[in-house]
Parts: sequence; structure tokens; C-alpha cells
Amino acid sequence: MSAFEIKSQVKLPLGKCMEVVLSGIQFRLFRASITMAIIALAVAFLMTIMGDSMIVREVAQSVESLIQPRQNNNFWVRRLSRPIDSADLTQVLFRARPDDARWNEYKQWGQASDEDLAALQALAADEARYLRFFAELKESQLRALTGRVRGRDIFRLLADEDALNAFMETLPNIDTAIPSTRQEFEDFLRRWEATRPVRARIVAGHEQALDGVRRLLDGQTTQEFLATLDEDKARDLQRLGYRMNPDDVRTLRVWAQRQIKTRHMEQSLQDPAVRQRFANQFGVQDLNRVTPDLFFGRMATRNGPDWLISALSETGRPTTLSADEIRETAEAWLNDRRLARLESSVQAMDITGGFMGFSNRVLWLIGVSLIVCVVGIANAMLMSVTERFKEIATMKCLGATDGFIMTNFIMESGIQGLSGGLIGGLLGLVLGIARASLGYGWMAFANLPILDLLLVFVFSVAAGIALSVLAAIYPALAAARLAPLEAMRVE
Amino acid sequence: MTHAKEKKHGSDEPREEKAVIIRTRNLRKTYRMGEEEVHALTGVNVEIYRGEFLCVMGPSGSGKSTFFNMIGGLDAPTSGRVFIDEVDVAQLSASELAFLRCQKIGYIFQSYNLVQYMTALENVTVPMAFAGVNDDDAHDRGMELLDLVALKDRWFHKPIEMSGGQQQRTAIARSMANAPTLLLCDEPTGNLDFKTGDEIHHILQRLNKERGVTIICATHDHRLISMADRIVWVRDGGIERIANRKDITVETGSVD
Ligand SMILES: Nc1ncnc2c1ncn2[C@@H]1O[C@H](COP(=O)(O)OP(=O)(O)O)[C@@H](O)[C@H]1O
Ligand SMILES: [Mg+2]
Repeated sequence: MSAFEIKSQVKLPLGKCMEVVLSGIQFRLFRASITMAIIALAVAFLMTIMGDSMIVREVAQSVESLIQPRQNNNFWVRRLSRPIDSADLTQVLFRARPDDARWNEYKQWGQASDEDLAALQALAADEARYLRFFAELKESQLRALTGRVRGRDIFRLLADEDALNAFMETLPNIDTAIPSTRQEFEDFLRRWEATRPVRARIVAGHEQALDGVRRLLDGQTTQEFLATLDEDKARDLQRLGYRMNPDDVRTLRVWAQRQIKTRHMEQSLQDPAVRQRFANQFGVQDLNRVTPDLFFGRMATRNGPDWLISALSETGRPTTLSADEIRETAEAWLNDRRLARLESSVQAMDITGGFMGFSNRVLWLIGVSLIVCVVGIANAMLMSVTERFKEIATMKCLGATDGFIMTNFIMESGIQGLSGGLIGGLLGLVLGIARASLGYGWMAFANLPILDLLLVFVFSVAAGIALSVLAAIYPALAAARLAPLEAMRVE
Repeated sequence: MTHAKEKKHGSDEPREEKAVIIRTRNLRKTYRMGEEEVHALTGVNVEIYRGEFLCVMGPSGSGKSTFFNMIGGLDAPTSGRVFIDEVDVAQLSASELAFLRCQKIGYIFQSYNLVQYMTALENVTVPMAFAGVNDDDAHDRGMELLDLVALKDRWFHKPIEMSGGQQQRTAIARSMANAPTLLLCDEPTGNLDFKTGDEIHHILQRLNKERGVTIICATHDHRLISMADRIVWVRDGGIERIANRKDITVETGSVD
């Protein structure tokens, strides 16, 4: 009879594993916190970069939507006051989609079919390409190629076969080449020529509409007309072929009113008497230093508007604006000014495209931080294993399976990843917001993409955990494979 | 209980019917250190009997620890075989080896090897946890074992708060956690003073006599020879001599 009945070792429940891991971490608190600090730093870096770029993207979108009314106003003022030129046409068609407002306007003015417009639209990209080519040529090269003809007129010139031949022969002489094959260029010119009538019809149709607009304006400026825009007037415009979104009626009106008030205030400052009074009142020595910034800045204060009202009535040109209107207008002007500044800085950044909307630069930084993270954590875990050779070996002598040792290390790294990740994530969030607010101030706080940030936070913490566990796998394997005889060794 | 009695009974059996618990056949172990080869064991053939107290003597570097690792299933031999109760250790899977180490063999090391962040009781119950014993039973049995080594009222001490002798006693309690048949002690008193070493020796002797645990003990300590049933002398990786204690008492007496 045998006293030995050898079975497979039972698996230790995870709860027991966790107990061992936690008491181990507690015992090695100092080393564990260094590991956590490394993870926290890496995660914080990751979080800062991602958080910052998300906030900036949000700011950029918000800036774009905030400047939209101004752009819309400019657009309508232009269309209601001057004829469309070829550049307008291309630009509008480039963005238009079949059956949207712009598309239908052109269809009506040009008595064009959808196919006509589609053909025009298809030309837009090529047109831009060839125009850029001509624009980048030196003046002397251009003269040799096209004589006095410039811009889109070149296309018309080259529609003539002889002119095109001469053009193509000249190209090598002046050391340059068109950005496509001759075949494609010829094809483009042919299509350009073929669509010329449609273009002309659209321009003509719009000019007719302009006549109607002039009657509607009845001596008003376009801005004044827009300032009194209502449903009726929108319908009048519609009859002339203009398509206006229902929302536009109000926003165009409000914006136009504001523009008129702004203009009014600007003009009041042009009066030398008012200017002088302003300088005296607000202690400006040099009259040239009375800038719009300074003026509107003062008008946005509590007493500024009252001063302006009395100054204007004293100089014999009393204003119809109330103090509140003056203040509001000044505030809007200042706001617009700030937006314009932001707009240029936002446009300078690469905020579009890329993986998950991150630019290549940001992705690169994220990649580097991940690598730093893995290396740091792997090193920390490796140290932790080597330090514990004897403990692991002893555990194996006591019946620990390789699985237990693995689980032990993976759990430990997971816990460290979680706590380090949480700390780092929070730190990174704060730093990211701080970084964004350094560049964009109040706009950053006004546009915190809470949900996105939360998502990025979760991602960062998850990355911290995943990287820690990943980095621990090799050391854990090494530990599990460690022969138990290590325990016998006397140091 | 019956288990223990059975073994006790076994140890009382006449030597002629000795049951072999460990048998090695041509056991060799060669360590390779770069270019150099170290022959730690050079073909050991030995039989160890159930319930006996075997003393392994030999100078440092003679291969005692290597021998222990082989017969304890802690390392694989370069060639040759180890049978524990007629089971070829080389045939066991990793999980079965873990089971063997956990339930059938207890190990006692020169440097105690307690887990530093655990209390005495937690250390003692670790092998029980690995064996799947539930926490309450483990606690009771752990306290019993600590009582056995006279450390019951120190169950909450961490290794760092205990003397060497206390740590080694804790280690003995731990080695007995799953009531193994075999105790492997590698110079258990090597780090202890004379008096403390005596305490350890007596505990080992009690385990052997009262519980019938087979004890294999590597030592330099000649006092232990008087407790052993048999003594094996090892030199340069091979067995130099095997003797029953009865036959050598005179000898050691003359040496002293
Ligand atoms: N892991 C190892 N690697 C290389 N050589 C070893 C290793 N373990 C032991 N040895 C060598 O094997 C021989 C026997 O060592 P060991 O079994 O520890 O002897 P003892 O326990 O009797 O002091 C010694 O020469 C030692 O240097
Ligand atoms: Mg040794």
C-alpha cells in the first residue's frame, strides 16, 4: 500500500491570490510606490497630451461656430451687392451639395440642370490645381506663356488649338511643366470651354436678381436692409432666386444690427472733437493713441456709454443708441476681436484628420510616452522579481504552481497599474486643462469636452493597466520558471 | 490520526522489512558554469527507508544540497533517476510536482526562508492554502502546529520580530503544514547557536518518533548523529560511507 498518491495541485482561488498580493505590496510599499510613480508619470504624460489636444480641438470648433455669423453676414452682403465672379462661383460650388440652398440658387439663376452643376463642380478641383500652377509662375514666365492674359482667362485663351500648341512648346523653354499630362490638360480645357455658357448664365441670372435687390433696398445700404430682415423680406429675396435658411433670417438681422451700431460708434470716434474729449476724459496724452481697442474697451465699462452719449450730444450729434446698446456693442466688438486672434492661432494648428483626430505630432508624442511607460514599468517589475527570487522559490517549495506565481505578478502589476493610472490620469487631466488654458484662456474652460475627456481618462488608465500587465508578463514568466532549488541556496 | 498511527507503527517495524521511500539510481548532476563543468553528484545510489532518521554528513561543497534538490523534486538530475515511493519523479507533471512539494514533502532550510511579510501563523498556513484547505481549518491546524513548536503565543509575529531559533521553529511548523511523509532538512541548525540548535534537534526527533515522519537531514553537527538511525557520508559528489548509528557510536566517542 502506498502512502503516496500523487495528484494534480489544486488551483488557489483568486481571492487568496489577491490577499497575498496586497500584503506583499503593503510590505514593499516603498518600492511599490516607486513603480506606481513611474506608471503615474507615463499615464499623466499621455493624458496631458491627449486632454490638451482634445480641448484645443473643441476650442477650434467653437471658434469656428462663433465666427460663423460674421462669415455668413459677409457672404450675404457680398451676394446682395455685387455680381458673382468666377472665383465666387467655384468656391460656392466646391462646397455645395446637390439640392442644398446654394445649389438650387445656381440652378435657378443659370437655368441649369443638376448635370450642368455636377459638371461644373467636377471641374473645381482641377481648376484650383491649374490656377495654383499659374499663380506660382514668375511674371516673366507667365508673360512668355500667355502674354497679358491672367487667371481663369488663360483657360479661355488656350481653348484655341494654336494657342495651346504654342503654349506647350514654350513650356520646356522656360523650364517648367504643367501639373498633369497634356491629355488631361486638354480635356480640362475642353470641359471648361463647354461649361462656359452655364457659368455665364448663372452670372447673368444673378445680375438680374441683383436688379431686383436694388429695388428692394430702395436706397438703403445692404447692411441696413439685412438689419430689418424678416420673413416677408426673405420671401422677396426668394422670389429673386436667393435661398435663405429660416435660421439665417434672425442671425443675419441681429448681426447686421450689431454691425450698424459698431459702424456708428466707430464713426463717432472719427469726429476730432469727440476724439479730443475721449483723450481728455480717459487721460490719453497722444491723440494717435486713441485706438479702437482702447475706445471699445472703455465703452464696455460701466461709465463709458454714458460719457459717449453726453459727449455726442455736446458735440451736436446726439446718438439714438442707449447706454446698454453701446455697452453691448462694445462687448461684442471686443469679443469678436478676441475670436479673430484665436481664429488665426487655431488655424495655425493641425487640428484635422489623423488617427482619432490626433495630429501626427501628437500621435508621435503618445507613442513615445507609451514606450517610456513600458520600459519604465518593465524595469521596475524585473527588479521586483529579482529581489524576490528567494521568496518565489520558497513559495514553489511550499506547493505554489507556476500559474500562481504568474497570477501573483500579473495581479500585482495590475493593481499598480490601476492605482498609478488613476493618479496619473487625474494629474494629466489637470495638466492638460492647465496647458490648454495657457493657450486659450477662458475659451478652454468654456469648451471642456467633458465626455471626451472622460473617455480619454478611461483610456489612459486602461493603458496604464494594460502596459503594466504587459510589461510584467516577461518577468512573471521568468519568476514562474524559476527553479525552487533557489530557496536552498544560502546567501 | 490513523494515518499517523500507521506510520508510527511502520517505524517500529523490524529493519528487515524496511519499506523504501526514496531510491536513487545512478544520480548525476553536472552544473555548467561557462566553460567549466562542476560535477556536484557523480552517480549516487541510495535507498532511504520509511520512518527513518537519516543524517547526511559531508564537508561544504560535497554535494549535500544538490542531493536534496534531486530527491526533493526541486531540480532535475543531469542523468539517473529518483523514485519517491516507487514513483519516478521525472515522470511527474509540473502540477503533480507542486502537489508533491505541497503535501508529501516538507522542506527546512538553513536560512529559514519564511515569507517576510507574513506573520508566523500566515507562514505556517501558506502550504495549506496551496492545498486548498479552507481558512478556518488552516487557522486551527496552524495554531496546533505552532503549539507543537512552542510558538503559539507568538503567532502574530513577523519573521523580522523573531530570533533565528524561533524562525526555524516556525519553518518546521510550516514544513508540517500538510502532514508530509518526508522532511528534508538542509543544515537546519547551520545558522543557530548551540542551545537553539539543540531545541531544533529535539523537535525533529519528536516528529520522527511520535509522528513517524521520515527525516533526512544534512548537517555538520555531530550531535545530530546520536539521534539518527543511519548516517551517510558524502564526499566530492559521491557516497563515501553509509553506517547505522549503532555501529559508529564507539567511533564518534573515540573521535571526541
Ligand atoms: N546552481 C549551481 N551552479 C553551479 N554550481 C553549483 C550550483 N549548486 C551547487 N553547485 C556546485 O556543486 C557543488 C556541490 O554544491 P552543494 O550541493 O551546494 O554542496 P553542499 O550543500 O554540500 O555544500 C559545489 O561545488 C557547488 O559549487
Ligand atoms: Mg548546502
